[in-house]
Amino acid sequence: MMKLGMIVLSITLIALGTVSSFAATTTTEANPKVAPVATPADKSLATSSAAAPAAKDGQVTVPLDRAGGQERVSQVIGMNVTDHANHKLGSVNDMIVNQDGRILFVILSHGGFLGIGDKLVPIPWNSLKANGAVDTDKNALVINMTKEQMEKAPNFESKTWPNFGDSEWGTRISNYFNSFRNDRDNAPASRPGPDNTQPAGKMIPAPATSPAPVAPAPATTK
Amino acid sequence: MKKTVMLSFLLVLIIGSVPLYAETEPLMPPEAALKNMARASDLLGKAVSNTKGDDLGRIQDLIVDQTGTIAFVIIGSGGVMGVGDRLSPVPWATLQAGLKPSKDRIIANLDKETLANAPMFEAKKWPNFSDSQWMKKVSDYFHSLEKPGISPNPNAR
Repeated sequence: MMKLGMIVLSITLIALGTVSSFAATTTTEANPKVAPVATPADKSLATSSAAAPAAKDGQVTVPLDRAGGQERVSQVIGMNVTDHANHKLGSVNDMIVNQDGRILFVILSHGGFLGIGDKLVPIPWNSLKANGAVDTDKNALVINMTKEQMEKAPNFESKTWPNFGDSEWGTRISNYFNSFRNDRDNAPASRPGPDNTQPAGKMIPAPATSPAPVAPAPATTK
Repeated sequence: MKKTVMLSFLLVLIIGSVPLYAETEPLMPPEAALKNMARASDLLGKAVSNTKGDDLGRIQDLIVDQTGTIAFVIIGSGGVMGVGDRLSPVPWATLQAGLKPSKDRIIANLDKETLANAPMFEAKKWPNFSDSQWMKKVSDYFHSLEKPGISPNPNAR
């Protein structure tokens, strides 16, 4: 009994060693947030964030040699926005760009009539990144958000554009979309499977293999 | 003894769960990134000139890549009333002052000749920007002018 126990113990220790060394390579060195129990939700969270590697873009300069999935802003503005079930949510009213040329928000407009009484909803790009795609066939921006969720989102009227640098406003948007994101990630069943792998449209989010071109292009190869 | 075995199993379970949890990216960029924002619709059509005061044309479009970064600004010049325009993609970084508001125009760090010699296309024939050959041509051109990181620094030339 004693011997058996020791064997089991040593096996588990070995397993433990390999697992934790694996952990060290995947998580960022020190203080990994320890999830006490591995639930399926955690798993989906991990994989979904792994699928969005553009996460670490402190990148400011624009790598010139990036190709693929380029969109014209003038064409995205005015595009229909739909959910995955092809229900129209509204249309793209505008995009907010910062000094570094990064798009921070896509402004969705809905409600109203002939441009009067529209509600404008800023959607953080980072929230779209993992869940949005331009469907070139339908010429629409497809996002993973229900009409209800969109209607409850922080919004403003077209006559009163907010200052997006205002941190209070930013926090409100951030809080809302975070809660929304958590709901979504914890309920993978609500995510229609086939649409996730939708091949038709050009995906806006960077595919898993795309961080490579982030490296600045070699100045000259010739 | 049994307890030890159970305990070690438990340990494996707990530690094993660590790699399953990864941090998600914050939705909002850091505060510093929130300075000098502009509406894309305001940029479209805006006049562009350089620091010498040369008129370079107008912003006809912005090309956004998969990461949500504007890779190129399409500057339209020449032509009359939009007919016969030559359109040139230039890197966003050449917009020297970025979005600093001089209400009616944007300052680019770009010589008139540099723009005139840059790869261009006609307004009627938009290229496929996903075509890496074409983009390489554009990036090679601007890379050859400015050394690493296409820093908009005139002294670097």
